[in-house]
Amino acid sequence: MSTLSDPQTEDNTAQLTVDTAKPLTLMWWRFKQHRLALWSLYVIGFLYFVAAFAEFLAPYDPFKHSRLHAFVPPQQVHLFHEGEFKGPFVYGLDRERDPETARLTFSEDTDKVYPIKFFHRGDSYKFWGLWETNLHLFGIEGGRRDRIYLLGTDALGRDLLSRIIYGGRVTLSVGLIGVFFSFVIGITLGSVAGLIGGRVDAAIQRLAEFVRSIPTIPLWLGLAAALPVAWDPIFVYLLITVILALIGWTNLARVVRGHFLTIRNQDFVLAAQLSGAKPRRVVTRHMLPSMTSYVIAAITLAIPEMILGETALSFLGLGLRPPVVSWGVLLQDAQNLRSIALAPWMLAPGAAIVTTILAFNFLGDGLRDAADPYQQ
Amino acid sequence: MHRTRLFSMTAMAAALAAQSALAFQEAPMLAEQVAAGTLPPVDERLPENPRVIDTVDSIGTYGGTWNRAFKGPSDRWGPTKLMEERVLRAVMDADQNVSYVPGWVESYDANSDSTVFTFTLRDGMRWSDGQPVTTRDVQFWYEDVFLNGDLMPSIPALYTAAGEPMVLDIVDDKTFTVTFAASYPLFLTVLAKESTGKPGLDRPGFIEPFHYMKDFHPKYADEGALAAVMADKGAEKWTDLWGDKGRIQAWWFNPDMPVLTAWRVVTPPPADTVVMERNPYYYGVDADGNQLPYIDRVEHKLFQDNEALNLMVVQGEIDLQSRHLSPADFTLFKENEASGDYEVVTWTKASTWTIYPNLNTPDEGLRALFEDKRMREALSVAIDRETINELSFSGLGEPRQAGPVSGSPFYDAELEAQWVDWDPDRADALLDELGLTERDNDGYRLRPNGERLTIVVETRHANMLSMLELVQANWAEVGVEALIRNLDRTLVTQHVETGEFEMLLDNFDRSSIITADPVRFLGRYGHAHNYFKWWSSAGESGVEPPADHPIRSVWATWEEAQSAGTLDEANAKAQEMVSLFRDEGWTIGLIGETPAMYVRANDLKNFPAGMIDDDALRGIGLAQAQQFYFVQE
Repeated sequence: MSTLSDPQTEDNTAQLTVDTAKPLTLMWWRFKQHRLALWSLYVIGFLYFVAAFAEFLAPYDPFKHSRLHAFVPPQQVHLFHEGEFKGPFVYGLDRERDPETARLTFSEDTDKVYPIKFFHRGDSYKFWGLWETNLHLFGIEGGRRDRIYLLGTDALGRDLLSRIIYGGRVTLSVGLIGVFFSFVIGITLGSVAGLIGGRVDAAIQRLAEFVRSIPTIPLWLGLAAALPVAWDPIFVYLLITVILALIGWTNLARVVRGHFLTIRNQDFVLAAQLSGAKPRRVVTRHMLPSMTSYVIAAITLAIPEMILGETALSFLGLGLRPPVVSWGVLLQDAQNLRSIALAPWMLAPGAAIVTTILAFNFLGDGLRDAADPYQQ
Repeated sequence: MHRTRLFSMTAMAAALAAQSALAFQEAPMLAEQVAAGTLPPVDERLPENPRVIDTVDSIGTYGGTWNRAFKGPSDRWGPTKLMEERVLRAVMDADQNVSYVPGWVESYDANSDSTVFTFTLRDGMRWSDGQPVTTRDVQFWYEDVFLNGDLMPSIPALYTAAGEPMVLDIVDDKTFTVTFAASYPLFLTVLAKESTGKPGLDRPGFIEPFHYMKDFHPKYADEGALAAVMADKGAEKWTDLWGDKGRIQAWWFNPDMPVLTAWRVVTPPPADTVVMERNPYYYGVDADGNQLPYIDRVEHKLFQDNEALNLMVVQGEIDLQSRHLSPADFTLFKENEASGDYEVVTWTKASTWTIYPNLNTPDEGLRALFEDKRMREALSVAIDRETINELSFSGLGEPRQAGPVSGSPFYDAELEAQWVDWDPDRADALLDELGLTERDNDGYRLRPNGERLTIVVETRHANMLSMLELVQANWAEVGVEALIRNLDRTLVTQHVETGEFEMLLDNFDRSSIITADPVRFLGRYGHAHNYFKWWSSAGESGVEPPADHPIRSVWATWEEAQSAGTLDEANAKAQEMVSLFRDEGWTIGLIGETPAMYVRANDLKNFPAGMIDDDALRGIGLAQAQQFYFVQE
């Protein structure tokens, strides 16, 4: 989202005069008419809100294992117990291990009723690393070992919902920084090359070719050997995404440059230039908007690639690996026959990824429609 | 002259076979070829005194194709271990007692002080192309392979005693002897596992098919012809044709290579389906005189992704396999037994998942801590192994310390149970006793230099990360921070080789017949790899341990075992080495004796359950695949 609006809003705040304010307002009106886009904006806002307040919103510590609660399927929330309204509650769990197949099965123990409590005191944590508290949005009353698993648990008996909430924090921040960087670099260098042409263009093109010719696997191998093993894997991953961005901008730069070459002599650009518009304004206001659809499509494709790519380099020890919690790591846990057959709820992080990608997609759609000057 | 001898030998074998109580039978597919005149009759193909292989349940019936899967041309040990041949072989009875029987030799013998070993070939035995096996093949192996500096740049320590390599003498065309400069009672145990080492893929030991391989050896081959072969096979040096990847010597790649094994490759890799077919000259029979193997063909289907293999299993496309199956999928396979028409059979793995504190770690503060026995005990008793077994192994393993497994002749019950019970209070007390009493705001203990007590635990086993996460939680409870790092195999190997790691999670394997390969106890690949290198290279590389370091007594005991006068004495010394290892408690064993899982089709018979899966016992080879059979409709 921010990647798209940045060049425009920045420009707008800089020159917020009466006549430029108008198109922005028009854009917002048009954007609001795109219902799906508006909802997507809310969804993305919600996702980032959840990521920001993960400690409070997640019912449990995402690393806390439970010996007796491995592979618990999602629990059903009930309202009525024996015909009597009790408010939302879950039943206790009866655990059984099949001696033959070693499979764990859980059934509801209807004698035990655990009402769901909001603003519950549970696992303690340091909120944003600042102060210690143990307040959670919800939890259940019961013994120390009784817990509620709305999305079930993984192999170590850890609450999947909590893990997805914490995982979103890594995926939605560190994971997307790379995408953001490569687009900023790609668009900037591409438009400079396309607009100015000549030696600058040649220099940027050769640079792009040079960057593309760097073999990545030896680079990763070298990095894997050089980086101190004690470094935090999330930081290493951040480093990798930035390096990926420094390599990955070339495609987009080529496309932007090509597009700029074709439109830089078109009437509307000439008209803008003749009206005395400065190059920066010509680029951001007149030329870039004409290729927003391409950029948005490219971004929406890059985001899922990045999320699923979180674990791609892990064979070199560079990608995200457990014990780091991210959506890519959680999904990797589920990408096998065993999970699909025995614990299909482990695929839940996939739903979170799909939701995120769709939301970004629709948002991009709406932004493009709103930004398109030829739109009715 | 050679030829006439051959005929007379054949005639003699045939005559003897006719007289013996055993009338040999053969597979229908071979009987057809005999009838068509393309193959000599079975009595002429078998040695006079074939190896009688005991069947597990019953005498089998001929025919069928054994379907399994392989992961690519480099996955050659799977097919190899099904059928590799040894001079002598380990066999195990239902009570897990191990004994040794002659393999492709008729008999073997050692003199009283274990310096001279005598081997006698089977009369009338033949290579898979029908040529006789003689001591000329042995002589060729010894003079032109073993002593050839290009093929064997250095002679492995396993084939030396008192620093002198073994000497092989040919007595007559059936008999040869191996002589050592000093007593070496464990030599036969080594032969059963390692045979006589590389080069070569299945390493039958002491023998190479002279009549075939001489064309690829510069001593005998015509220079021009050899150069042509090298050009054809893309080899730069003649030695590239040899070895376990050599396009000539590795049977896996070369269907023409004469072998002694029950099957030989007919469609070599790279192929989507590698096919092995019965060796018509295989020297083994069952108790009724039926020539083995029972199964006509073994087909290995190529797969890329382990999930593809799992799908093949649950769909019943695999007849028998263990390789590449993960115990984590136990429940999945169990639940699909009926639909896939197979059964999950388990053996016990002779190994223990173990965390190795590195006594050679560059961080001196940590090294001092790791050297302190109290530290190792504290970290060990801080771990709740029951929970790990429950969550990471579905309760199928056994919480235990690293060491010889139950069923091993060297099993030590005290070692198995040492520091295994979960006792965080004791761990806390021990750590306090070590002076690690200061803690930081997060509750972690501080080292004397004021830094947090943080230990990087690295592993290449991605599927074992869940186990490490549980250890991490346990250690955090006693104030020790573990940083878990899953690294690439080459990187971990590099760290182990240079000694630049703090702790390592790996399998403590080779824990059954430890005398065949005791390196885990001696520190290699684990707690003292650099010390081990110093010892094994006689001081040329590695790091010298302090003069009073207890690892020296472990090595000394093993050296005594190697040079003991008798096998009993050697075994007693090996047991003493285990005791010394136990007293030091260098490793932190977690879960061991986990099931080795075999998927067996319901119509495949004679596959035993409950054996020990160990490299020294040759994995699936212990089950004698020659006598597996399919129930014929």
